[in-house]
Amino acid sequence: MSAFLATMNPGLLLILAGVICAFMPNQRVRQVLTIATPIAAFWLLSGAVQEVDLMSLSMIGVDMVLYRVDSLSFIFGFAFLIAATLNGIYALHQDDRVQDASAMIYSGAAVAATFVGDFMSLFVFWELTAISSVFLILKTGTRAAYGAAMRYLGVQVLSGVLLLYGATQLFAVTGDMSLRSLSLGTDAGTWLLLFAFGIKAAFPLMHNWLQDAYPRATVVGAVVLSAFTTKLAVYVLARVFAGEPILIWIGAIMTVFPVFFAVIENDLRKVLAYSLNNQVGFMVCAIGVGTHLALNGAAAHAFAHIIYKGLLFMSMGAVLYRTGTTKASELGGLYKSMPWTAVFCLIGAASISAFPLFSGFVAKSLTMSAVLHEGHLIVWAMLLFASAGVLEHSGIKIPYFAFFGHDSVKRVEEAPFNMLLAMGLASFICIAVALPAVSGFGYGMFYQMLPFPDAARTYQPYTFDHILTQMQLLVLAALAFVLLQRFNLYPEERPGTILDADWAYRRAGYGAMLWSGAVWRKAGPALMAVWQGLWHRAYERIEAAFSPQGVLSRGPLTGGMAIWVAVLLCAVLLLSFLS
Amino acid sequence: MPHNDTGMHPIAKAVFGWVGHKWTGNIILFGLLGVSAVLIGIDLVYDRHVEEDIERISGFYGLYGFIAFGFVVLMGRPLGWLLRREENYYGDADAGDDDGGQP
Repeated sequence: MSAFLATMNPGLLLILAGVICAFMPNQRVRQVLTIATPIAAFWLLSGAVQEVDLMSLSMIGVDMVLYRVDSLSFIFGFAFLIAATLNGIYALHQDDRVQDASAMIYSGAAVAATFVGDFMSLFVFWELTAISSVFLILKTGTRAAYGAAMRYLGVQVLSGVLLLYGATQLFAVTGDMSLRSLSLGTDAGTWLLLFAFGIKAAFPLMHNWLQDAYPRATVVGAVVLSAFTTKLAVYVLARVFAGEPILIWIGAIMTVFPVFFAVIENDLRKVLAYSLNNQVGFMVCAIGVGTHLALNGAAAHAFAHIIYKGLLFMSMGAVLYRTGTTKASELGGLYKSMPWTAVFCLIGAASISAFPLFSGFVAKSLTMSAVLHEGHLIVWAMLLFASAGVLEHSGIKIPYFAFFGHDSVKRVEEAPFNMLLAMGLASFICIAVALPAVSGFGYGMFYQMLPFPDAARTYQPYTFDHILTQMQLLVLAALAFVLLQRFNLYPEERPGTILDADWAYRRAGYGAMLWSGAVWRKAGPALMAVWQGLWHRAYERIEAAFSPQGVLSRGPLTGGMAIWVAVLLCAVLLLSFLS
Repeated sequence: MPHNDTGMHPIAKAVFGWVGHKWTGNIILFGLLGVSAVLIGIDLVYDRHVEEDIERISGFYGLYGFIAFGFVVLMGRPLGWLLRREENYYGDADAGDDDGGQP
């Protein structure tokens, strides 16, 4: 590898390919670029020397590190590149320059952000992820998608602005812009940084951009979006705020509340968006715990999650592509015409539910063990509750209502071959990283990539105790589902809009703005007339008093006024002497 | 691959042929009951490694999963009543819009 290539941030290669895609009318060339570039980027990454600033520059007095690799950034970057490759394969059937370019630039920005070493460079790529990805929502071409895209862009740009503001505050105090571990509250600008990362990670009450935008994105767009934005935030949280206790509780709440929304949501892509929220909660919680075991858990969970969540979005994308809907109330029985998609969806469901032999099991076990080991009993109980919830919405609800359950009598073609290939490869990874005792394969190899491989080596996920307790949790939860179905206690899937925190700005805030506008339109002219009348009268009074023809300018006023001022001054002086 | 007269994909018949059988529901139910009994039975006789006292309860994880799952699902109806509004509540759906109007 040449010296230049060895110091090139692999994300820049993806961004360059994305720019070429934007101007390339030939679909075949774009197809080659979307698949070959992430593979080439991985080749670059694999040759990078770790823990060294490989590319840096100074600008406006700020030292910027554009490429630096370590064990934490490596696993995130690696997962992003796998996702970019799978997304490229999944999108092969579509001839859409804008989406190809958008997906590549967005993926590249996320990869580049993962390997930068300062806040200023992070800000640049952070904003680029927002601006490039919005086209994946806009390309749906509906009014609803347009609205969601604008809200998405607004929220993401706000996150970037907060990041920049926080970073400049930090720089003003410390003179150091490097991306490093910070203490919340102690270092300047850290709360702003936490808010910036929190928006992107979809912290509670800041989360609705996710459920708003992802289900409105195109078939391919939702798959692409699911991989990068929130996991980039998770990476930065792990880099900057590892061990901050507040993250333990934020993460725990994140795991629990989406479970309730997911159970009543009818749109299965929105269910997946809530599920994404819930899964990121596990990672945030692990980052808050901050031990080596916990940080390994966060990184492993992020890696596994990028693949299995992508797989689930791919399966729902295939359903949407073939049937035109992902509404649970309109689906069912699709296993008859889309059996391969159903099989891959079931593998994704088993992985996210953390069944033994699937990726979620070897990843989530690390976090659960770390939380319990550090004595966070209530948080652990919350995560365990959320694990049962994951089985409900992603493990059972998604495959059951799409592929089994009530037969919708929709008889469609199986998903295109390229979609099946992408889903097949994702399924393979979900199993390959979880297999026990397979040389050069399985969780041993997976754990070797984690930020703290020594801590990972001593951890055994496949103990009899782990398998027994996890199978108890999952099997009895599945039994609860079967019993609730049998006794008609499972809530019926019904169309509708589920209110969430975004009601505050989509309904209350927007309503207040409309109301203010209406009030102003009606009362404005009258209020302006009153104001102008008052101003006119005041002006007349002032003019009558102070103008050259005014009262104060007449006769011996100036001299008289001086005498009266002197008299008053004397009176004040006299009073002050006497008192 | 061509579908047969019932619209069933040949692979579907091979992999999921059992799904439509009239006894499938019962087999799944009793199968899960049996596996649950075995898992809790093992827990009764096996001395697990525990970190917290609550884990010592035999079948704790199973009971917790069962109750948590049931609670989440049973909350569905009241929450739906409380939070569900009409499809075009925010007034941004196009006519005949479905799933964000995917073309």
